[in-house]
Amino acid sequence: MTWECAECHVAEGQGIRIDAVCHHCGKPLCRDDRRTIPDLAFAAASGEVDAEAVHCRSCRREHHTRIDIPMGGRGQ
Amino acid sequence: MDPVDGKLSATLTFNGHDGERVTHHSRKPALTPGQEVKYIAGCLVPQGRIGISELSGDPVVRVTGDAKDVPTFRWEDQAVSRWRNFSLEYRLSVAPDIDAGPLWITPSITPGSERRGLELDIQWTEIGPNGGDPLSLNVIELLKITVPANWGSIQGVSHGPAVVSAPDASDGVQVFRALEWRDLSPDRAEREARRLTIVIQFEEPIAVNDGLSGRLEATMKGTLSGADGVRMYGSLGARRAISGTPSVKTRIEADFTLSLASIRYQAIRVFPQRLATGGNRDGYAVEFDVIPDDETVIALTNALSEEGFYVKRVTENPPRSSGRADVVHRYWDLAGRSHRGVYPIDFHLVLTGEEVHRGDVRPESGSTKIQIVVRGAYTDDEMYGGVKDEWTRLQAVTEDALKGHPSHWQGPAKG
Repeated sequence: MTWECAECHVAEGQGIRIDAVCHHCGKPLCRDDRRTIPDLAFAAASGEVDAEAVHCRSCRREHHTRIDIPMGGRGQ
Repeated sequence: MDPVDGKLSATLTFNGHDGERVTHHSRKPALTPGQEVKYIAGCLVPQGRIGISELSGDPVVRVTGDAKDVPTFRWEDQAVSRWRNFSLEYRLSVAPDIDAGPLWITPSITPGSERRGLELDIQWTEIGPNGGDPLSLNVIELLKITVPANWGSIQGVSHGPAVVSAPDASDGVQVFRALEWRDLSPDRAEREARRLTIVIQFEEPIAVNDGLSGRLEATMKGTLSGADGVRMYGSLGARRAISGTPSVKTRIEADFTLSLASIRYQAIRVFPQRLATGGNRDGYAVEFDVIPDDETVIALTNALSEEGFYVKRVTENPPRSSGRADVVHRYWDLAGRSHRGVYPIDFHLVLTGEEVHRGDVRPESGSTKIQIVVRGAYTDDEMYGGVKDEWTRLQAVTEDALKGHPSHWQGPAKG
């Protein structure tokens, strides 16, 4: 079984690293296909958002609105 | 043989923030009491050419569930453990071809031990995932054998230490004794040969009609699924470091019963035995009134060859003079082999004697003493007796050859 990106299907190796998974569905993602969004559900008790959650395209659309995506963020 | 069961297990450590987050979420007004609060603690992803049926479509193992089932998330309870064990039990996508078994245990009786030495050969085969590296034995965690107590006490074991239990009548009739080894690790040579031999010396002879039983637990490096590691991803999706090195191993557990009925016991018989002749074999030596010279040796080797004995070597020690000026000591050493069927029996003849000279270059008279020793392997009573029979035959051929040999020098042959 080859460990590959679920979005672009590039296989790991030769400079390609699949070192993240979508935190909703668990799809493996390469660096180009991951979308990171600060997630309030993972905020500390103080309310400060200090964690960015990795998403695939479909989970970003399904679980987050554009309001979640900060200016200059990588969400599309 | 049972089907192969696989297990991926991990111990997760939660910190205070994890509990806080779950508690904070549980207090949301929209949630009703008792409603499921789903958590995800991250993902585990086995690495390598894995053949796990449960992961054939989706290689990601999610550590998830209802928060109320996890004591760690009960914020009000500080005393609960912060560790949680997680495991996934799985089956292989393709059953491995290990019908013959990954481990072999073969008993035998040590040759020459008078049936008091038991050898257990533990051999392991090269098994592994299709197209992957074969598994190698790491350690035998447990080897336990149960033997009849009438084999006597344990005089020694080749691999120690072994724990020997007191005799116990486990089946109510026959009394047994158990021997147990823990953490047997083969050395380099044993690993290369994929073979470990344990020798156990008993006080009494081993009865071949008895059997022995036992249990073996071993771990192999590697997995039959092909998984060679695991990655951890946090609940936010980023990769997380794993403390320590993941242990990738295959565990083998086998209960066995071994029969000794078909064991072939081979030992060596030497006749005449040194002990049986009071420390020397002179009692079996035969004396002849013949000169111990080259003509006598030639007559003897000719007679042996005619009777089917293969003479391999004839050696003469240099003649030595004695206290008497007219007497010379001769010493000849003959060695050879004969066969009973396909089984060889080696023989060794020592010919010694004295030559008496009366001024001529040739001896006038002499005396010869011949001692014969035979040595052969045997596996049963017939072969055991056959070794002595061969000695008797050699003795007869020797006597026939030398009794007809002239005891005095006859002078040069006349043509």
